[in-house]
Amino acid sequence: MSLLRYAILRLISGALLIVASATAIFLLMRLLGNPIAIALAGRVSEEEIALRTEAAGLNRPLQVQFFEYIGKLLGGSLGQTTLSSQDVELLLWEALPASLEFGFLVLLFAAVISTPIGFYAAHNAGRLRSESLRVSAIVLYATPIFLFAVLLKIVFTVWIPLFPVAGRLSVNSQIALQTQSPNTGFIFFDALASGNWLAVADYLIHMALPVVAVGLVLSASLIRAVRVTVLEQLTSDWYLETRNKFGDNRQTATTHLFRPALATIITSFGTQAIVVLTGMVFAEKVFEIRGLGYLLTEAVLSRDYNLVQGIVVAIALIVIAINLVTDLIAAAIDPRFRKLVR
Amino acid sequence: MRLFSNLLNKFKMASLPLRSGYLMIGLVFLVYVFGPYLAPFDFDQIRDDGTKFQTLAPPNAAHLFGTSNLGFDVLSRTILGFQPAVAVIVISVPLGVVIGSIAGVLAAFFRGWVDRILNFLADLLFVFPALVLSMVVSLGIYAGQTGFVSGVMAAAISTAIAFIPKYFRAVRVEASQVIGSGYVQISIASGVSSWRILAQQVLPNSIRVLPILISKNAADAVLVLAGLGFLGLGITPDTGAEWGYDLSLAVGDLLVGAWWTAFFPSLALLLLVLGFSLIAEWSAEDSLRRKRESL
Amino acid sequence: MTNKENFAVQELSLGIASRWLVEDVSFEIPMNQTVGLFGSSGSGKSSIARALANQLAPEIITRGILSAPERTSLVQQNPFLSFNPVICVGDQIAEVLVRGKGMEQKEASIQAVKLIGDLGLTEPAKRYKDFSLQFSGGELQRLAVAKALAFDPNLLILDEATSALDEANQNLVLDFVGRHQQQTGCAVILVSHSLELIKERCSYAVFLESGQVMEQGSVDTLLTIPKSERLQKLVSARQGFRKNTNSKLSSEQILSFEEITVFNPDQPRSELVSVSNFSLAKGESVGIVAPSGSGKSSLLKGLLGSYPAKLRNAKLTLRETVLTRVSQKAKQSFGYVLQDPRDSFDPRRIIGSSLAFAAKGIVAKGIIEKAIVEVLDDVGLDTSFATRLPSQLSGGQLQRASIARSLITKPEVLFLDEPTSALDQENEVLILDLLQSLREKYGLTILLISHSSFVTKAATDRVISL
Repeated sequence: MSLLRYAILRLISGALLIVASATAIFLLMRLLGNPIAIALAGRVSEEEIALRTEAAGLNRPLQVQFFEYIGKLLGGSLGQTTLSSQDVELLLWEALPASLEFGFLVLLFAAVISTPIGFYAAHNAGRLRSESLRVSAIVLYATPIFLFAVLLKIVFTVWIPLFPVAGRLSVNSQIALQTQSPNTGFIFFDALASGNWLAVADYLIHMALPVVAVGLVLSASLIRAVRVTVLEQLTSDWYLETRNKFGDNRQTATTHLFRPALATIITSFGTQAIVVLTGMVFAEKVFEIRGLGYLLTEAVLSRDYNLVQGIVVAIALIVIAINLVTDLIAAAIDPRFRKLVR
Repeated sequence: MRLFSNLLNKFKMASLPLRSGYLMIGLVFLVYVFGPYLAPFDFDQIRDDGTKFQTLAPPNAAHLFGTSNLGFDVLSRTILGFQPAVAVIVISVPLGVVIGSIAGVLAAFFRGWVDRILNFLADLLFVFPALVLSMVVSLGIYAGQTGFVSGVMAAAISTAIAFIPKYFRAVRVEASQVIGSGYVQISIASGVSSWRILAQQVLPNSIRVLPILISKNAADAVLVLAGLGFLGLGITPDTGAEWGYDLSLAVGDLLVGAWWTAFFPSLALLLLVLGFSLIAEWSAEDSLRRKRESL
Repeated sequence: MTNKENFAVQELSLGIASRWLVEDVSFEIPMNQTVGLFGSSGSGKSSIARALANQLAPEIITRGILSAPERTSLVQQNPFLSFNPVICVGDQIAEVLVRGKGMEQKEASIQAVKLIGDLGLTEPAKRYKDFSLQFSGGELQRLAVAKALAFDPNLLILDEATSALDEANQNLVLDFVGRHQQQTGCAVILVSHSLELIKERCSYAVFLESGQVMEQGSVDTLLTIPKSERLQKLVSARQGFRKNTNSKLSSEQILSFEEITVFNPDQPRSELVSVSNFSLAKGESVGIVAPSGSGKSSLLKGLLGSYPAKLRNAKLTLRETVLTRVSQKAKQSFGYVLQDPRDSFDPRRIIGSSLAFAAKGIVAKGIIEKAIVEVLDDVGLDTSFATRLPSQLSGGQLQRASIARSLITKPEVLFLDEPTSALDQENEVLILDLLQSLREKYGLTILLISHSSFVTKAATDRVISL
């Protein structure tokens, strides 16, 4: 179908998906139990729980609560945390920049590493160097991210103290940045914008280990994806034909190898977003980066029902948005990706 | 008997990485089955014959893998860690496979609205990372109290949910091709009942793609369980042996130079995950190669 | 740019892993002439074509001498493999002109538009910008020929390139190629399984079977005085067919309708094909002849319910009952034979099991085995075939098994969709003979669809064109 038609349909589908996700999260969490009971079980008496449940309006019919939930959501509010009655979305806004920057750096790192290596592996497929690359990629992929993160931390901060132990910035830089403008919470952006190169370098050094921890494992699966896609192109007839007639040069490779593979690679980035998110939850804990994953872990450990709910909704939104963007980009460059149902 | 010789044949024809994978999983299976008999102590045992174990003792004659900070025997906890790990796989995989495959076949056969709805549901399930889901589930099951069953179930259910869309999509594509082929079309045109066609012609021919996904599923399930434990959720040391939780405690040990509390659980985890990952990656390769040679 | 040297293939052998695909093949490729490579599927002709074009899969081992010209173009059977799906087709044709002939981009685009039009496509300027997926097979195949010729090759190889085209388009393409040959003096190799095509368009032919050359020579001598037994059989097959002209017809109508419109299952509002005022009498054999892509298979699918369809004023008289639509029960009185026998069987089941599957519910449990034996006997297959897997039968045998399966439910109407198109001439005639005798034996009513007028004339009482 035409690009425009696909874009419209895909956007509608994305919107429907967001609504469905919010609904599913609501239902799932209610299925697990009463928010108050979950949060306070074992901490206060049973009567207290019952009282607070009533007070929070949780004994009203489910539909009523659901519509209130959706209403608030559309208005941009995610309710109050169960334990401290703070606005959930405020906490999220505080934590989001850290994770977004982290994620961006991870994707950048992985893209830069995996694309050329993937190409190389495909070009030399079957030979020893490519096969051993594959095996190392598998081993890397199989390593649990948290394990890898811990290893990196121990090796490079304790045994060979090269990198800072935790956090995103040293205290000095933090103070410096806070007094300067802009102050969006996006450290990288802030530092660059205010010309504070010291802070930029400081930030990058702090983030080096966590980015490598997540990025390397992500690269492992991306290398495999790139390799497989490029391999497919190498045996395609149109490539063989062009190579026979005009030689195995850059133009042949770009038009007939790279372009057909590009959309597939981009969409695989989209599907790997979930892997990145999972990895970030671990990395944020190990390296004490106060992002979304960190917040989520804390929320679950303290059993703050509403906070957990809010974070999961935010995560769903992010995943849907990322996949939407990659799908649209892929459809723009490759007519094969303009079918709604794959 | 025939099953055994089939398996042996498969092994002989496999490439090196694939064989390594099979061997690893075979080892896992053995440790799982004989684990409770092999482990010298129980997972929460801190004394034997009245004497308390030394805490954080390096590997020695009495404790081959050493002891942890809390006084547990590392060897026993490593071996017994296979119990919940395999349990998660055994619950998660069939759940995901059955639901995903049946949905895939139905979507391919009935098309139209059925297809669109099932696809939408699959897209919906696909949004949630297994780990995040498992964290939420562990929150609710048993109202936040962590335990063996809740830990296993949280990891198993969330991994199954994460993989249902993958099974669905793979089977749907395969089933579409099968349905388009002559023998199915002829059955439809000759008035054979739809259920017979689906069950006896479409489904058996559409599951070719499953083994690889199943291997990935198994690896992921264990990773989610361990991840959950690492974050402090799921199975706590007093309710069972779980590598992830042990590893989170072992981080502190590393700082004081004790390596054995982290090393052995990591090894066990790697064995499991690497074994399945090798099988997943090289099965496809092998079958592709054999296909090209027979053409 | 044509090279006056003569090219040839000498003692060429192609192998993969455990066996030889092609053994010791030698023939010359004279300039300004068309050589035909003729044989059934599996004879190795496509492998030779790909070898000449240097497009073999990397696992294939080559022995012998391939003296092919530098400028060779190959057009293969599936045009969707010849075009990069991500770049518009016009640009791909233009690319050949720019890189192959050194043209300027602008001029190349103009030339490409002209070529697209020359090969019979309407609105060439608009279609220039379309992608390969937006074309039908026939259209894209013509574009593939255009792209191949744009390269100005010394050798053009057409590997079953026109098999999927209807007669009109086939002639258009081959005429175009012929004109190009006259202008440039290039050599052409035509690979085909169709004797008629080779006879019509080639001056020299090489007959291949199982990877070896059985015979070769000028078309006139080869096809009028074939030396090898196999070729003799093929050439004379059609002459040997005797049509049974005294078929019993009754006036009773078994199927009739005023109009049927079939829709696309994925886009329920787009119409695929429509037929009006159709009737089929009991015992009659009716043929529907139409070129590929005109929707004849869709017609059948619509009638039988695989595709959504609108039937107006339909009447079915089956097993003494009158129906107004094709119900589940009605379908059980139908038998169905398809074009590709390999695709018609579940590859995991032995033949007997597939037959039993078809019979279940309609034939009583106790007598299924007997029915299987009977029906295999009807089609001339020994009972031992029941325990074999489809992969162990030849194309001709498998198609007979397919007919056997269609008979096991004792149908009243047999639907045949291109039943002989995938078979060679010898098997084709055998199947037609078989159909004839079965029709007589069981009093079958037949609806046969084919793109070949020979088949429809041979097997039916009257013919309808779509």
